[in-house]
Amino acid sequence: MVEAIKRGVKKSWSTYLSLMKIIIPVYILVTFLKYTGVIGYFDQLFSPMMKLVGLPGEAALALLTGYLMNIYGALGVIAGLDLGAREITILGTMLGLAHSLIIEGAIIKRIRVKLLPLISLRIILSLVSGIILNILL
Amino acid sequence: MDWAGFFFEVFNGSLGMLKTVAVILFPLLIGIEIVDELGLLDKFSSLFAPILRIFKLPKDASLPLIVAQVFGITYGAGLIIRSVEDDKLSSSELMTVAVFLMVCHAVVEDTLLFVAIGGNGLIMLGSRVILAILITYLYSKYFVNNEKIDIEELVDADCC
Repeated sequence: MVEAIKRGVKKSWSTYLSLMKIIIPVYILVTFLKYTGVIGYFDQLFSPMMKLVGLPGEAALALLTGYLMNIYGALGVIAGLDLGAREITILGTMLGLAHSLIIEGAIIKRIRVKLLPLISLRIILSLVSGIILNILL
Repeated sequence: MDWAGFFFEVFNGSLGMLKTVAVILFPLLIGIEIVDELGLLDKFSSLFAPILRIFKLPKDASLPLIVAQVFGITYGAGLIIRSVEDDKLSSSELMTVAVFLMVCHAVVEDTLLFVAIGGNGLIMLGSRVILAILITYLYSKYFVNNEKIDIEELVDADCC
């Protein structure tokens, strides 16, 4: 039991460090972009598309980071943006369904299954869930 | 640019994130090690029994499924590879498991992280699990060749 707790602490610490190496720099970068006004342009660019899922245009940055990088990067982005509970719930659902598409794609490819349909399925589910939650919430 | 505001926000926000993620990650990962040590994973895997029946999957699929929920998709995939090598899963069953796992894995950790920054956990977890079950059901019903499933159904009918 003591061994298990020790193992858990060790694993948590190394996981924690590697996550923080992603979350904090991404968060600082996004906050910087927010202060310099770059996020504002981004917001306008993606606003029409993101309206479908009930999110501000700037949230597209969190979605893209989550899809291409991972959930932790997306967490850093979300922390840097000013989003409400409703927006975070929608984003959390969309990102839960589809994230780390490149890395998880490589993992799932090891079990010799068809990759492209699975990745497309995840993105479609993610977008559909966003549209449905936008209507329901 | 408002540098003072920027540094103030970055400092406070970073401390906030350091705390938020620590509060979730440490109890969760330590808890998982204890559950694993006590051998409770096998018991939890019976949670998947009704779901496996919907997907017409053998009992051997439950361990990779539960491991992927608890430890993430990398470990889940490792177990799946072993199941296939041991001939416990056929290639069509493998694809069914993969469809479910791509949509639904590490749900506890992912959900808690978004709850920590203000999301609604029930909605996030619920929609993910429901969609995963629905999609995998549709997949196992319409895309998996039915011949093998019929045989399994016959076996089930005989035994009961």
